[in-house]
Amino acid sequence: MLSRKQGRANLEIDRKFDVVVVGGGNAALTAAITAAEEDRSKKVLLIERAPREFRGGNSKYTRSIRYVHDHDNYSSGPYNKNEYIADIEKATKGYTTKEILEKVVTESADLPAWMNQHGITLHHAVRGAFHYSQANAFIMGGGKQLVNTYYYDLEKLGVKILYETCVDSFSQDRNGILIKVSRNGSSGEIYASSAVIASGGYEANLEWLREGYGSAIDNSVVRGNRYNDGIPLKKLFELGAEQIGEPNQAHWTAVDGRAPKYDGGFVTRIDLIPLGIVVNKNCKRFYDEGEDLWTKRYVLWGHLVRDQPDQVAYVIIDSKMLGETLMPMYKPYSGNTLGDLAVKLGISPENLIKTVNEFNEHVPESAKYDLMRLDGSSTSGLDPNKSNWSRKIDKPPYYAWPLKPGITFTYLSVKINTKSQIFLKSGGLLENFYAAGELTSGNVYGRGYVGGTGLVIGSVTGITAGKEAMQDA
Amino acid sequence: MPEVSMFVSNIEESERQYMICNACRHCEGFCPVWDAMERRNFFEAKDIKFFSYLCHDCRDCFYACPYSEPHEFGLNIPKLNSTIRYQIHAENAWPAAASSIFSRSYLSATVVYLISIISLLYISISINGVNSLFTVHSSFYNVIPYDIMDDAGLALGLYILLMWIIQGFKYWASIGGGSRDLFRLRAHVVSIYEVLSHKWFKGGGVGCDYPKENGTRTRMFYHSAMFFGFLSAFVATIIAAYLQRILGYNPPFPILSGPVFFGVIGGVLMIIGGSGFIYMKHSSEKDKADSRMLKSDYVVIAMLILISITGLVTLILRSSSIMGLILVIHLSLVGTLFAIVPFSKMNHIIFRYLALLKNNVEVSNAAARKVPQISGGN
Repeated sequence: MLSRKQGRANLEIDRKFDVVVVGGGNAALTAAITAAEEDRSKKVLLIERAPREFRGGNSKYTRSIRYVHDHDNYSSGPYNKNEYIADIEKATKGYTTKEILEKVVTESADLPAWMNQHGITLHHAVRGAFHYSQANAFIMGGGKQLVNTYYYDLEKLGVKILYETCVDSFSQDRNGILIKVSRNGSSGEIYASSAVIASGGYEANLEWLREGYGSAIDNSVVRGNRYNDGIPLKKLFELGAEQIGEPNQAHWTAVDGRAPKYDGGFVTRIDLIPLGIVVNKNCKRFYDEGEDLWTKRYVLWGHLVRDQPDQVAYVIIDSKMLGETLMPMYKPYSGNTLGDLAVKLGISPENLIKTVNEFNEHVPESAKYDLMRLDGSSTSGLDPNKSNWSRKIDKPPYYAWPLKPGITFTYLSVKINTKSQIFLKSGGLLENFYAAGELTSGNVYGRGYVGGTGLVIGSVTGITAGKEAMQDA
Repeated sequence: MPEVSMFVSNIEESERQYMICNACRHCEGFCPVWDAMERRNFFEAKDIKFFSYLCHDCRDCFYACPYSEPHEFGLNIPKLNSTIRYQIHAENAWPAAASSIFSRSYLSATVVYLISIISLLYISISINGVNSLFTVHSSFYNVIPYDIMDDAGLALGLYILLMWIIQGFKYWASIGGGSRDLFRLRAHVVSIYEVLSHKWFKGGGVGCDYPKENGTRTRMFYHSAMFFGFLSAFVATIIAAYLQRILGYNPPFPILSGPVFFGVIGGVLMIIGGSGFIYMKHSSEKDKADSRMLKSDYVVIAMLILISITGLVTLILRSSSIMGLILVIHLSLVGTLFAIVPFSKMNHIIFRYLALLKNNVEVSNAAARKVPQISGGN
């Protein structure tokens, strides 16, 4: 039994539960809600690693679901199963598990109704910043509103919630599962008939990340939740769970160089890259800034910046491009000349002027500029060229934002079947254990990412795991 | 002055916070602030002052935000808006020296009340004698003469109107409103509809996280009671004036007359709405509001409740011998409220309406100008 800590909530809980859910984001919450609704007479416990005010894992940084639908109120047009599967197969270059992908995509169609039943409001309006695609529905208030709503549902269902509680180990005995937990230095034991592990990846565990990325991690930031240390995932591997995905595959984006080390979420992201050029610390361009629509390229730039010297780059625009897209949260560095700007950034003025002049000389004279589509306004003769939206950088003042790579979540996962059961390396299944959410994302994403699927994978695996776990209990 | 420098830093702090909001935009749909924000790339004092009165203090944004305190980005938009609303009241007070009537709302309400009850007692006693306060009367004018009541009422009404026009113009200028935009009929129609329907008390469908975290429409209910109660009492006054001046009937009016009917409905609704408001504000989370603003809320709500109660008591006891005394208490409360209205939370009627108007002017202008918004996924 956990000992009571001064000034903390009482941990005098029953230590036997029918279903224990480890994690506190969307997957864990949907699992716990489903389990509790499946059999109201049984006892469900949710163990969240973060304190209450930071609960919700990475889900609180999400905002949309990509789902199969006909014409409906939440999107600008239909999106069918085949299109959805094709989009993911393209992004993953085939590194995906067919039956899991099939299940996630098929069951995505039921999500809006499930969410509505559980208090979530989806945006009706087809307007504003979010409606750039017909594939996604947007959550009123975003991911944290979703998380708060689901926690409220759990309270109403009488599910016990433990905050600030870490899982130290899992073990199996003939009664079920023994989970050793700790909080503020005191430790305790909880028994579960079955358990759903939905505690996310290890994007905040720098030591573990270094295994996949080396020292580049030290110059990167963690966009995701600081509490996602991946310990429960590690414990599953120690129990013999089969691994899927690679330790060097994760969701990355380019963020502002001034972003905090953890929990910057989406607001630190820089969306201005198609508006100008990107140079590294040596003032060299290194990739086609106008290769494709930004919605299809924003994930790539995290990897690109990570591969630059010291993981640093700068996006540079001139004043005619200011306001063409969402403004980042951080104000830009500015200079009335490119030289001034370079000095403020701490890079070589001569080299920056040279790179910009060279770029300007290769911009086509009569270019039609249209940011909403691939406008074909390409430079020629440069290495690399900028394929679209090429305009001269010549109207002072000039603006720059420093870039850094930011990791959102990791793909390294436990291998699951369509019942969210966990495969063992040695063959067979890890009995009474179920997995959901980010720590199963590798079953879908061996590579790449498609926007709005994180919540869908979490919900589909979460609902399945919650239901199966309760049937086990 | 320390208050001025604090105001500047509040504006700068708002600018910092709205830059984060504008890079996020998850709160779109809760209220018009977020659409208004999205029409801008950078924020100046005039924008912040506009947003803070466009904000209806539902607090949905605070709870929906992953960057709210205690996150290191430290967002607390409801609190900032509340602080800036306080500053708007102080800044637009005219004459400027009168802004301390607003900042010391408890004291000023008490002083004005004492002055008004003493003068009314003096008038009543000097004209009709002490006994008239404790005698059965057939008319209210046996307690306070008609001319005095009528002139004072009219004068106070005109005074409020004048003050509201002056302060309204000041606020309108401070949020960058164009003088022509005051005559945009369509924007007025939409704004009036938003006021009457309480459109922005619904959190865009999820309710208001007020007084606590989970969305409800409780606040909408109490504000509607207050609003329509106030309107009903106002209608009662207009009908009474019509009956008296045009048709020549003298109060007290019969139970089934317009003034009594609308007056009773208004009084009851204001008591319900006011009590609900005080309960909600009392149990609300204090770290999301400026405590000075809260104080000024309490003064006005308390006065409206007291006026409603004494009005209803006057009605019930109008044939009894203490009617005179109750009437004097009631009228001095009404006089006090009228006197402090232009330096009280009641000014939110003007400021919020103008913010709504500005928003609706911008909405119709924005239809012409569309900024491409590219953004990635999560």
